[in-house]
Amino acid sequence: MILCGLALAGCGKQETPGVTTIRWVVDPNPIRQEQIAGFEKTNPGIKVNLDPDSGNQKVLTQLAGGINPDLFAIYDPASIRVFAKKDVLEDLAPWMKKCGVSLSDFWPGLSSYIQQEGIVCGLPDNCGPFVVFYNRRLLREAGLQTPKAGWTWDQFLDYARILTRKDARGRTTQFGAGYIEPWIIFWQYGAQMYSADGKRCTVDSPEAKKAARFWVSLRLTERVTPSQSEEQSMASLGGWGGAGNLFKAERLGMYIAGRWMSIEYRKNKKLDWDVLPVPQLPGGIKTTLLASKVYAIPKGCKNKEAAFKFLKYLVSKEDELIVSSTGDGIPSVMKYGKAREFLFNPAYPNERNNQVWLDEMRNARSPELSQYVSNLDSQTIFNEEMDIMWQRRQSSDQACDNIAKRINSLIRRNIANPNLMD
Amino acid sequence: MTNKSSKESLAALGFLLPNLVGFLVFTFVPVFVSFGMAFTNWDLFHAPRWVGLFNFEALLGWHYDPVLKQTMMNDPFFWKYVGNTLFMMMAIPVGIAGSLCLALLMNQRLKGMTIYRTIYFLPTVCSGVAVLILWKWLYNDNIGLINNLLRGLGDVTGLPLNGPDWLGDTLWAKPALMLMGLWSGIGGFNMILYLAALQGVPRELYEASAMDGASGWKTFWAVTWPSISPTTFFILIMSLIHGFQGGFMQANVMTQGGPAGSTTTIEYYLFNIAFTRFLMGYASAIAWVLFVVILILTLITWRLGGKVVHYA
Repeated sequence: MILCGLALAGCGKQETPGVTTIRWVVDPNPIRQEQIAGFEKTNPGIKVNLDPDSGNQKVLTQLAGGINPDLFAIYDPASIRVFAKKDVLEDLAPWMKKCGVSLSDFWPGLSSYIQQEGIVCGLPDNCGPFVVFYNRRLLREAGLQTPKAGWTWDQFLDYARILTRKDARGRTTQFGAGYIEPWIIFWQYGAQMYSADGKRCTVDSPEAKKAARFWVSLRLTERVTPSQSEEQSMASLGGWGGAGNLFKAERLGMYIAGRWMSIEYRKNKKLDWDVLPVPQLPGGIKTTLLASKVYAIPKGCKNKEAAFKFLKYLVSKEDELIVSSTGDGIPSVMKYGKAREFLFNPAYPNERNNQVWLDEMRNARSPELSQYVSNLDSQTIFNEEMDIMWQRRQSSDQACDNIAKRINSLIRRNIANPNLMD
Repeated sequence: MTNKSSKESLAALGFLLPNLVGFLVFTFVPVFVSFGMAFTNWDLFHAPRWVGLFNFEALLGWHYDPVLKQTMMNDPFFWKYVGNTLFMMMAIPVGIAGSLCLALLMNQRLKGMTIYRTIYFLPTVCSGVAVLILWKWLYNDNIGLINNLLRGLGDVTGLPLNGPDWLGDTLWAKPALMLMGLWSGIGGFNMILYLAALQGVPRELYEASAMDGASGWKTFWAVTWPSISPTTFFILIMSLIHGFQGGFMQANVMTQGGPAGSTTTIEYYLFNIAFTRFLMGYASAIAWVLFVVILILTLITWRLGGKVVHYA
């Protein structure tokens, strides 16, 4: 049986002479085939095989087994840093120079996605600042005017209170807003996760505590955002889960997320939605969260030239507009975002506010990292302390103190003995 | 050795070979390799480099924090998750007692007993992930069946009955998973083992006990319990081993180890260390520390068990 298996394994497809085949490991978005077709049309000597994988597990196994993909997606700066630290990624800087791709073409906020550990780790073909998705019908029915750019968190809270509805038993049937990524609020209050040199976690600062109090009040005091189990119980599964599904099911007035949610919301033809900039704190720092992913070439890739050709196509105007037309982010190259095709897509005539994405992108930031502590450790500690706070077993001030205390202890440990860090 | 017996040996080896090859390739070699890996810094991407006992020092060692003026464990997470694992293992004696009670019931000569046995065994054959998702919904604090039943009961009795957020509360998440484990485990293989053991107790012993006028309770403690003690001993040791190695699937599917890390077990931590942080050497060290703990506990149980187990 083993021999048969080995024999059959040798009966793979024959390579076409003169054609280089590259393997692209990325999430199985239906748009991938269109991207591949677009590239192969102008590059007949290169064939791209899609190898779908939504996380890092497949790539890890392949890299460990020496079966390197030619191009693969990495989904967050912390993972990019891990791959870069492990010296697995090809430095793309020389390739970019050779092909005339410039780092200054990309939105400056994407720098921690593109560059880590002194190399260009990968290039993104789209990105997404967090903005407010709002349900136009629910706002209309509640007699609320569409908020204007520059609106404040106080106004946001007023809207959320009005949009929150309860049944006769006092149970919430519709929430004003969904879960909000804490750092959008924390940064606006002037708080930072780490000091500038990364040697101290500063979540115990007065600014962070003030921000945390407001953030927590939305769920625990005001009850305008749902708990995790409320999110789970009020909407169907699928999509990206969480409050995003609640918005799709019209059980949520407002939801702060990136543009990829448009893919889901376009599926619900009855859902009348639009986007707004995130609220601001008067006198605070104007900012929002930024999410993206990059495509990287592993050092062990055997077809680097073909892989970079494909990567160059992925950051071309043609490809970036294909991707953004699906709703999966906005173009990562600044000038393509300003293209007429992005600003108004006739297939989705209701989406008239695409300029909001570009405006928000100017101030968007990616999550903070410290080189002295593993992001997985700090995230674990942050989530653990916040979990205890959500159960009202500690105040938000105590949670901030405990987070800083625990993370700083790890930072001190790692500075004293760097080998103890990953 | 005669020609015939060597032929028989070869035939036996032939029959054993598929399993033996599987064991060697998928169990023995990985275990052997993982022992070596525990002394390296293998990260999946590069050739392993010898680091001696460093992984064990990082796992079990401690350091002094001059700011907190405290001695801190090098890996503060590990010890918390050891605590979680030990806490969840408190369900083991309850599970064993439950399986025995159920086996005693299933051992009665009643009509349709096969159907009852099948029903109780069903959770064991149901697909793991599907069952876990089902339980996740049962435990939902808003629309879950359990809390809805409690609320309904509260409405009827006028008592303020409102169930907790089973999987979202650090106090309840572990008991909730233990309860679910009992549901699927009590009627499982342990019950089958007990059933087999009960059916192997010599009838004469029961007859002698009846002739002496012993009550059912007395008969159980004097005849049944000693007779099935080897089975209890076996189940206890296997449960201890599984207890230390358990919790991955529940954490991965139902809680992601939360809330506040309260359902992260050693096994789930080991998985995360290996496959989200790529620290294969460190993960191997955790696995070997776990092995040593299990070995010591098994030897202690063996030594203590030898005094109370009655072999016929």
